[in-house]
Amino acid sequence: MNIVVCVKQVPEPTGTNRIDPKSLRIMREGVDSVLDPADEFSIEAALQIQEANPGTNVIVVSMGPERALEAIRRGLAMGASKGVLISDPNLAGSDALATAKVLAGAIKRENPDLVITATESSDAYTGMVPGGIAHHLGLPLLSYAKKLTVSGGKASIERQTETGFQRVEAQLPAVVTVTGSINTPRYPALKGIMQAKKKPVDQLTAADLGFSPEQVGEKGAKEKVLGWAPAEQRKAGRVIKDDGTAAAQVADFLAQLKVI
Amino acid sequence: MPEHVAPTNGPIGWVVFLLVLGGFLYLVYRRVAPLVRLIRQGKPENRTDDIGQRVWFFVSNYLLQRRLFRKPIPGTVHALLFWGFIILQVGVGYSIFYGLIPVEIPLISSRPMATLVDFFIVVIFLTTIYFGIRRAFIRPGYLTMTRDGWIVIAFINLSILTEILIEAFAWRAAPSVATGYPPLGRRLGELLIPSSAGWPTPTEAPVSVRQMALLLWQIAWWAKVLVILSFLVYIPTSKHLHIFTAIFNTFFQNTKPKGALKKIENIEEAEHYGANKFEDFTWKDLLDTAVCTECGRCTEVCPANATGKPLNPKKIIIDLKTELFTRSHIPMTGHTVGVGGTRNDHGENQDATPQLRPAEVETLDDGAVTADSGGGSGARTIQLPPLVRGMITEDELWSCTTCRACMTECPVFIEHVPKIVDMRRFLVLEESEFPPEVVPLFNNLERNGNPWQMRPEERMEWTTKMPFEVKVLGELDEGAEVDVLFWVGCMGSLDQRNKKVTQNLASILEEAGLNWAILGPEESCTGDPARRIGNEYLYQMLAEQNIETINGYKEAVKLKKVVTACPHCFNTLKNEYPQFNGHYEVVHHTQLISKLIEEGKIKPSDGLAGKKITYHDPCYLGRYNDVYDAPRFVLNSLGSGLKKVDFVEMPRNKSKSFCCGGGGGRAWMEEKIGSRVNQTRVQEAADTGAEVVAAGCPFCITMFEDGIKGKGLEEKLKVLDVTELVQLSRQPAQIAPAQQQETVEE
Repeated sequence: MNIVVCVKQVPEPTGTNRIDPKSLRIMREGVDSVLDPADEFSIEAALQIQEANPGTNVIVVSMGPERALEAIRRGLAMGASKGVLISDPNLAGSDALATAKVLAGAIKRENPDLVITATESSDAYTGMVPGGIAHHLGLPLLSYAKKLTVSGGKASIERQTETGFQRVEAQLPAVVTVTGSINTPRYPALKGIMQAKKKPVDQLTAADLGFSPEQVGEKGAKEKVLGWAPAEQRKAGRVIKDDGTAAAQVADFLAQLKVI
Repeated sequence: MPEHVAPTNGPIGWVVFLLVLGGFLYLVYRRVAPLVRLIRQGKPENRTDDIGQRVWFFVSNYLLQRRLFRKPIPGTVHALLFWGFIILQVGVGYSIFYGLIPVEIPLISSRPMATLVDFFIVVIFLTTIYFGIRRAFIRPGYLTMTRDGWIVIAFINLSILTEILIEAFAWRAAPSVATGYPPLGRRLGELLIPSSAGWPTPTEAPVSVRQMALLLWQIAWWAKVLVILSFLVYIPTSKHLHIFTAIFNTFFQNTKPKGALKKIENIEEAEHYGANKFEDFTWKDLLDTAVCTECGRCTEVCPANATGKPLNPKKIIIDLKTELFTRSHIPMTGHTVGVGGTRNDHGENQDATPQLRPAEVETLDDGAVTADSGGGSGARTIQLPPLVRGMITEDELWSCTTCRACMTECPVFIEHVPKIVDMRRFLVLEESEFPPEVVPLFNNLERNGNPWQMRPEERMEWTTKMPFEVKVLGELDEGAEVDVLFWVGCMGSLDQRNKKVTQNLASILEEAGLNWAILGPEESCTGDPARRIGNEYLYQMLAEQNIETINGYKEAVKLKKVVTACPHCFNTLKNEYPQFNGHYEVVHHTQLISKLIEEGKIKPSDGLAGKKITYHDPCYLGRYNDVYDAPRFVLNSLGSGLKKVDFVEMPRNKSKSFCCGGGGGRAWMEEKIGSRVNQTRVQEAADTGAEVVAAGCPFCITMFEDGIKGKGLEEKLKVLDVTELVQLSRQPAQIAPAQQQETVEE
């Protein structure tokens, strides 16, 4: 079985993400970049299936600049077998749709039985890429999996919803997006980090996948960012000191929120 | 000894003696040689630097028994037994020599020497009575209770009994020349062979009696020789082996700073990390096991053990010893070694029955292989569980707070903590096996340089509340100089409670007129928790980064020293960074403040007059760095005369301090097994009647706050840093709200 995991290198999520006022893109220079922590759940999910099914290959695929190789290495250190990096100056400025198209092209070469991604990246948060990948590959999409089981040629998930979860299944091959509650990602052992340096990583360009510069990158982008504004700061909570009426006050507060 | 008479009684006896002696010594050799060979095959480690200091270690800790006195009663008794035994060995050596060449040596066979020997025979007898009572009735839980102890006591008594009989019969056989008229031997001789009326004088027996005494003297001599030689053959199977191995272990003890763990050199090129099997340990690690006397002093003081966790430092050493001795074909008296994978039979570790593996057993010179040979006739099947996750469980390894109490107590200088950390290194670096709650710690240290998901800029937040500007090294003008770098640390920079300590210390530095600065966002975790949890790789990354940062400023601003309020940062900066070319003069804030008080630059007041205050010694300040006096000096300077604070000690203080439970990365792990270490210590502090327990460590403060809440003692006991007490002595009104935090975040 071949499992492809899509990963992305993002600016350190606890850092202050800055947006270039001119290009309206996230500034990636001068900040620490890491493997998107959300992708660690995808990799862990794939590795757990690999452990249960010997002979399974876990392939980590990423599109990004040269240094995104570090994110792939992290995935390899965790235990993935191979990496694929699509890096090409022509890809700079790609929108979510182009990204999905390019990733789908690279994924197809690996003959996947299963594609696992995070629900969205921790920098741009569009959440559109997994659907795009499924579309371009012509595969079913199982999204928001908080549990994933693969057996008998099927993928079954528990799909997180606002009120509970749904059980959904699809024939393989399929695309699955996983949430942060699906597992606890492993911390790579130093042994894994060292072995990762020797694992193969295919480096591809847009042309290798048959895309012309017009189809991808800034030129091919159909999506435009029109503006941005900082999110509203979260307000401090309210402290209730118990003078005998605290329980009532808490109840009133919850009633106000229509929770009770 | 009777004149011109050899105890061997003629050439035949002499040859028999020679054969007996040779035979026994060969048996000793057969037991000791594989042991020595295996220990020497351990991984290399340099322990031959500074020979002069090592000779002193041997003199003070072997000959003078210094460490033993940390437990005054058993220690004194042991020292008496030891010194007595040394004296008696002169007699033993002489007995054997005399069997070969019956010549009197004037000094040894002199009367003062004989008197001394007799004196110590009595002393040794009395010490064995004490040790017998201790084993039979006192029965301390930490002591290994096997037949071994009784066998040793029996051997000691047989050797003094035969010695005294030799003296007694020699006196009756030839009173005029009997060795130096030993007072005790003489009286025993007179008791065993009373004089009668027909004797020429009461001391001079007739010839027939003298010949009988001579025969008895020869029998006693043979008995003594056989007792001593049997004892020698027995010793390698016994904890009593320490009488020889301790010579080496006191000499080869660590001369490096106590707080520096071994560096893994060229970590990226290593093929195997840490230790999980016999071959991974150094010769010194293996020697340690052969020295262990199973006295259990390590176990007695272990905070993990005391709170019901599976860690028992003595057992860790015995586990490794089991493998060493099994491979060396030496049985361990009182322990079922390696057969069928069973474990020590001294009532401990009975539950360890993991899967078995054939041990690779040392092949003896004569080819007598006794490794697992599939149950063939006559072959012994020796199987041992794996060392790590077999004999030693992961829970044992993760229970250690690295508080160093075990190593501080061990009379023979066994090094427990480095072995535990080496095994953790295996689990972390090779297997990625560690408590799951440590994953975020590692990730955050790696990504953010602090244990939490906080941005480096947030390290500056505390400075915004200060009434003066806090200088940051990275923002200084060209050519500016700074004397003191205040290393704030993650706890001091980012933890709400400990930020208050930081702000107090900053005010004190400012008040004293020091030229100081901080690194601010450029500071990151020193790596202490990562290193002690076993993540040497992460530690080295953090250390190299910090050292690069500090070294980048060191010359430019003419930095003189580094001060920190965190003993963990203090220890790592001071003792471990030199391994990575980071050489700084580092002081703990209590050291700096005590100096400032001495110099009159800081004047505590008497606002805390009469308040009962006790002090908790942080492990990494006390046991690891021997800083005990500075914090006590500061506390005793709070007020003077009748308006002083009422300083009281906890029962376990200074080098005997009991860990708060937060060291060795334990602060980042859940405490699921047994009772809580911090609550145990909080109770001890509360029992002194103190209102305040002073501390000098952010981890101790955090652990104490948690323990005080857990025990419901918020109304009775507060934990405050030494700096806070200095400030409060001048503004006593502030002491009340110190425990409450008003800010609540959503």
